[in-house]
Amino acid sequence: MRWEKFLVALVIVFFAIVFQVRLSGGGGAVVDVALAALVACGAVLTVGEMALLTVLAAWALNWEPVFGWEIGVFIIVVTLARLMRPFLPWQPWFSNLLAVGVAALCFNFLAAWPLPATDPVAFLTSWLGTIFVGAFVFQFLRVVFGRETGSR
Amino acid sequence: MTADRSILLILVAVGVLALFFQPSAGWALQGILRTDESSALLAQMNLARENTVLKTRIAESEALTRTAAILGSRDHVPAFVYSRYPFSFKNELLIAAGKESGLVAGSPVLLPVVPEASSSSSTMSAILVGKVREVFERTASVQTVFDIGFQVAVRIGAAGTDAVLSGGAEPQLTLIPKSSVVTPGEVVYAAAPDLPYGLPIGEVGAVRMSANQLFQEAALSLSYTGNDLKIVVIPAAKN
Repeated sequence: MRWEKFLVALVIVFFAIVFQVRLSGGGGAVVDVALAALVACGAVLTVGEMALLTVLAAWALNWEPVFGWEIGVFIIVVTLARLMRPFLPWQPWFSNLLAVGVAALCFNFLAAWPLPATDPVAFLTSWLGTIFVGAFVFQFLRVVFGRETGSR
Repeated sequence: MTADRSILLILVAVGVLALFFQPSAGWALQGILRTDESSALLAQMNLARENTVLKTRIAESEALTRTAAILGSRDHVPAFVYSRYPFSFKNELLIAAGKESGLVAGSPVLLPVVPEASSSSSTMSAILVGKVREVFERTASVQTVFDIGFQVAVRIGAAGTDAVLSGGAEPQLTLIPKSSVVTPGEVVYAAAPDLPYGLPIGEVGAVRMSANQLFQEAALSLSYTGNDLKIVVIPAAKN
């Protein structure tokens, strides 16, 4: 049931955006919750479904009247992570971990350079937090849709 | 299956159109997703901010008697906070005032302190919370003191000790001369050439020596969090 998977992913991404929006104003280290959730949800979504969800997330997260560089990088990184997923040869859980980690790394370096270098501790905290969220979402999807989740 | 794909394609197209042409609807969604603080907590925070402003006034009157009162004597543009930078590292806001309201890049952004009903003061007090970074037609982005790239020259207390405020999740006061005596609770106010002199910012927190032992450093204690920034004011640009 494709729509079932899409709806579950939609709910996960919605809650991820809620967390991200609430965390962003507090001035603390922000984990890229939405990015992690989207990349992990790529394990159960088609490329088209992923595109829809990514655009919706970008719309909800966009904060400027102009189409910002960060939003553009966000869309590209998440889409590339989904496109690359079938070519990752490892166990699904490890492929997911790698996809989330590399996506978060690329996103932060492309969208926020040189800030990751100026505060490496904050960057590392945020990056590890993002990987954790990605692993958590992937595990949740496996519980809901079975152990074949993310298999090629 | 083809029908499913067509529907999906239409939905993606609608999403793309919304992203480009209806960003304000996204900001409205962000507003709904945020929590509101309880009114008691807000009142308590406001009291703490008022305390900071009053301390600054005392410091000014003790050591800076020739400084004209900078607050209350100028017109201000009030603006609602539309949305916030949602990713890591930066801490910026989008406010509902732009070129149309006469905003210019670099202007100070202030958090107003609402006077108590019993207060006889008729002037508006406010705390510096950031600077206008980029101005659009009807909106502007603001770099807050919580942004890692925010830096401004400040002075501390009645002695007017020089320091630099470095922004971040936990803003710090750096380059405080080793010989200066700085104690927690002293008021911190702006002393940058591009900002009105004496704008209150916060209070000194824990003081320590810098890593290279050449200067002192201190935490900056603020009476608000990033989530309290819902309405800000910007001094109107002079023509």
